Amino acid sequence: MATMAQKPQTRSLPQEFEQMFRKHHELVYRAAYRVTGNAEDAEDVLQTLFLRLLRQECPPQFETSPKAYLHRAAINIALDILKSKSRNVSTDEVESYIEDGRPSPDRQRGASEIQNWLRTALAELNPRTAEMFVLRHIEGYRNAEIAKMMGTSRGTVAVMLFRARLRLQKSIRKHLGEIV
Amino acid sequence: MKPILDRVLRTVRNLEIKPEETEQAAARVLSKLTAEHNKVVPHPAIVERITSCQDFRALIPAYLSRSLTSARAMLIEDHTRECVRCRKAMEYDRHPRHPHEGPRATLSQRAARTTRTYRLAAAWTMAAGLLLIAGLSQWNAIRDFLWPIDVHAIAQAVDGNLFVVSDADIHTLNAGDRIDRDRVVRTGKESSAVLQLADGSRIEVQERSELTLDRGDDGVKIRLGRGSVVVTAAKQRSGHLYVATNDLIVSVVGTKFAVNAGVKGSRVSVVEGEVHVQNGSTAQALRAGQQFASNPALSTPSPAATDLRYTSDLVNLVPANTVAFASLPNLKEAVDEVYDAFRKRVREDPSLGTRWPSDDVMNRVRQVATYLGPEIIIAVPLRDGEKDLAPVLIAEALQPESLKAAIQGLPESRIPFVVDSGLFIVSSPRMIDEVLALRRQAGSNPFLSTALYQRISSAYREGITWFLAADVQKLLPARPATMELGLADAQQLVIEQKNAKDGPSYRAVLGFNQTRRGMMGWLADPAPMGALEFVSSNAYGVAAIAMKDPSLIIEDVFAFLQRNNPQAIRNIDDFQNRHRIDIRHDLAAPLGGEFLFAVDGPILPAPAWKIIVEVYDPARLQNTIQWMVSETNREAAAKQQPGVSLSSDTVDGRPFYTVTFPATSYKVHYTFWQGYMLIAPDRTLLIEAMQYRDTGASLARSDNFLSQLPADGRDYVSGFIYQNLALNLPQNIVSNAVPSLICLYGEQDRIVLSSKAMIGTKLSNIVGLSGLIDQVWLR
Repeated sequence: MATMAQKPQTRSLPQEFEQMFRKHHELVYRAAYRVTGNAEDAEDVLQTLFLRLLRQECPPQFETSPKAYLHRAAINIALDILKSKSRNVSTDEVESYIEDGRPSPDRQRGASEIQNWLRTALAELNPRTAEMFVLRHIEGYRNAEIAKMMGTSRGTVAVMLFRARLRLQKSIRKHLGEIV
Repeated sequence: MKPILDRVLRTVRNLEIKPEETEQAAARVLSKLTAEHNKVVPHPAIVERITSCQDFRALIPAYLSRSLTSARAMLIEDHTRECVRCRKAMEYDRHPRHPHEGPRATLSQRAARTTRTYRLAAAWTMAAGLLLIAGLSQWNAIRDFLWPIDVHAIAQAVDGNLFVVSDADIHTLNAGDRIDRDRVVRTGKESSAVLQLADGSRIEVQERSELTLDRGDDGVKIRLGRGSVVVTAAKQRSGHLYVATNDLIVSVVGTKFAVNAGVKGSRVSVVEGEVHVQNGSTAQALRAGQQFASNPALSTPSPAATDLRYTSDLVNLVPANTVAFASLPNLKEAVDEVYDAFRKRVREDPSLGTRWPSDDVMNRVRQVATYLGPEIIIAVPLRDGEKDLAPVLIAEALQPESLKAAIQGLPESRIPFVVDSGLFIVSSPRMIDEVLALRRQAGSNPFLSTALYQRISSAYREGITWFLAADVQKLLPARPATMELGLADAQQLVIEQKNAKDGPSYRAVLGFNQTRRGMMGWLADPAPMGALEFVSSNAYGVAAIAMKDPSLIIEDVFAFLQRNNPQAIRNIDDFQNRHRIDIRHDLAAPLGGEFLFAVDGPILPAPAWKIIVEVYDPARLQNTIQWMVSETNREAAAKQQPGVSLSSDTVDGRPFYTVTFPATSYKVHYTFWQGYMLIAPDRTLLIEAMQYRDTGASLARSDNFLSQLPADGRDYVSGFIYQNLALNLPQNIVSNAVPSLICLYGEQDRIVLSSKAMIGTKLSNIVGLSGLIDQVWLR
C-alpha cells in the first residue's frame, strides 16, 4: 500500500529575520564578548538571543528600538552566563597584573584573571545594576541614554552607578587585601 | 595611578575582538538557527482537543514558536499560571539547560520526584476521567471554556441591506456593527457586504446570502446557509478556517476562494492557494483555478454526441422572411412506438379502435417516414402584404420513387408536395418553387443574414435533438401594451431538446435586444431562495419566484395603469387617500423578493395551501395589516356590515395572527418567522412549515426534487414550478406521472426555462396528469 509520507523540506529562515541577524550580529557578539570575555560564551549569547527572536519571544521594545533592545539583551544574557559560571579568582594572578607593567606570561595571565574577577563581581550585583554598570563603563553609554533605555531617571542611574562602583571597589579591595 | 577598577574596565572596553572570529561565530549561529527553525512545529495537528496536561505540554513547543492561534496561546498562558508542572515544563523548554548550569538532580531527588509524579499522575487520571464524563455531555461548553476561539465578525462595508435574523424578528446591520457567534446574518436583494473575522479574514457576502458564524474544532466555521461568499482567509497560525454548507465542508489555512450554496448543491472555486473539500466521505484538495461541485446538476451536461445534430444542409433552403423555424428528427421510431402502444390498448378495449386511423393508413405513414432523411425542417415565412405564404416542410428524400408511391397512397394526398433534387418539400406551389430556386442558387438566400439564422446556426454548433425558434419581434406587433410589458424588446423564442447521458434536457429561451425591462424585468437574477425551506418533501406542487423589487413592480403597475386605464389609477389614489395607506411604501417596501405558493398537505376537505413571502420589515408590514383591518372595519361599520377580525396570540414564543372573514367564517393564519411571512388556512400548517425549516427536512433536500434539477451548469434559479402529484393522488388519475420541475432563470437580456421534463410538447407529463388526460380523452 502506498504511504502518504512526505519528504520533509528544509525551510529557510524568514528573510526579514536573516537581514536583522546580519545587521546586528556584530553588535551583539562584541557586547557579549566584552562581558563574558570569551568567544564561546559570546557565541552562546548570540545564538540564545536570536533564537528568542526566531521564536518571536521579544518584548514590545524590540519593535520600537531593535538596536537598543539587542544591545541590552546581549548584556543581560551575558550576565546570566557570568552568574552561572562565577568562580573564585587567584589573588596571586591579580597581584602580578597590578605590580608589574611589563608584558610577561604572568602579567598576561594576571590581566585575564582580574577581568574574570570583574566579571564574577558583576555577576554578584543586582542584575539591573549590573546592566547599568556594563552599559555605562563597558559599552560607553551616557547616563541620559541609559535612563531612557531602562525607563528611569538620570538621577537614579547616577546613584545606582555610584553605588555599584563603590561596591566593586570595596569588593576588589577585600579580594586583594591591602595591595590596592 | 588610576584605580584598578578603571584600568580593568578600560581593558575590557578595549578588548580585541577579531572580525573574522565574529563572522565565523555568526555563520555557525546562523546555521544552528536554521536548524532550529526547521524544528518549529507550525501546526500541532496531533493535539486536536486539549483534555489533559499532557496535551498542554505537547503544545508548548508550538507556543514557544508562536505558531499557535491566539486563542490556544491564551489558553496555555492561563493554564500555566494555574499548573506548576506545566509552567515548569514551559520554562524548561523556553530555557533549555545551559551547558554552564550546575549539576543535575541527585538520584534521591529524582526518586522523590518520581514518587510525586505517580501521585500526581493518579490525581490527573481521576481528573481526566471526570473531565471525560463531563465532556461527553457538555463537550461544546467545555471546549469553549478550555479552548476558546474568538468567533465574531465586524461588518466592514454594507451595500444595500444586511440583516441579522432571529426567530420572529429581523434587524438591520450597518457598517461597523459586530456580528456574534450563532447570529443568522442575511443580505437582502441586490445587496452585498464585507465582514471581517477576528483573525483578519474577510468574507464578501453576495446578495440574498445567509450565513452564521460558529466554531469548528480548531477555528472559526462559517455556516453558509445559502448564497455566495468570497473568503480571503488570513494565514491561520494554527488550526483552520472552515466554510460549511449543507453538503460539504471547506477547510483552509490561508487562501482566497469562493463558495456558492443553493438548492442544487454547493460549488467551491479556488482563487489563490489551496483548500480542502470534504464532501460526504470523500476529501479532495483544490488548487488555484480549480472548482468542485457537490451535485452533477451544477455541471454543464456532457451531451451524448451520437444523439445530437450539429449540421444541417436543409437550413440553407429556408425561405427568406421566415419568422418561425423548427428542426425535428424523423419521427419514424416515435410513430412506431405510439402505434404499438395504441394497438396494445385497442386489444384491451376494442371500442378505442373506432377513434383511430386504420392500420393501412398508419402503415403508409410509417413508410413515408422510412423514406425520409433524419431531419425534418418546418419554416413559417411572413411578409407584409403578401399572401400564399404557406409554411414549408423540407426533408431529404432517401428513396424518391418509393416515397412518392407511399404518399400517393395516403387518403389526404391532396397535400401539395414535390419530390425533386433529392428533397421532399410540402408547401404551396409558390413556396415550393422558392425552395427549389434556393437549391439551385446556393448561397443566395437572404435568410442567411438574419438574426434568426444566426441563432439557429448557434444552436446547431452546440448540438440539438429538436429545436424550435421564432422571431418574436416580427410575430408580435408593436403595441403600447407589449411595450409596457417589455415584450416589444423580445427578439427570439427558442425551445430545444438535448439528449445527454443522464437523459434529455429541455430549454426555452426568450431573448431580448436590450436589458429586460417592464414586466419582463421584474424577474430577479438567479439567486438562492430560502422560502423553499418551509415546504415539505411531500408537497403536491410548488411555484416560487424571486422578484427584483416589489416597490418597483408597484411603480411599473401604476405607470401601466396611468397610461392604459387612468380611471383605475384614480380609484387607487382615492383608496390610498381615503385610508391613508401608501401601497408602495407601506405594503411593498417591507417585502423582500421571494414569493412562494405551495399545496403542501391534504387536498381534502380543503387544499392545504401555503404562501411564503420574504419580509425585510415585519413590524412595518404587521402595522400596515392592522391599519388596513381597522380601516376595513370602520367602513363596514359605516355601512352596518360585519367587519374583519384580526387576532393574535403567542405559542411557544412564536407569534401567530388570524384574520377571520365574517361572511364566510374563513380564516387565514399567518406569522413571521426567520425573515419570512408564512400564510396558510391552518395554524398547524404554519407550525409544520417552521419545523421544516428548523429541522432541514424540507423539499430542498428531498430526492424527488433534487433528481429533477436540470444539469444546466447554473447554481441558482430565479423561480421554479414543481409538481409531484403522483405522491398522493390515485394512480388511475396520475398513471405514469413522475415529479417534474421547470426552472426559471432571469438573465440580463433573456429569460431561460430549463427542465428535464419536456416543455410544451408533452404538457401532460409536466403537470403530471397524463393519466387524467388519457381518461378524459379516450373515454
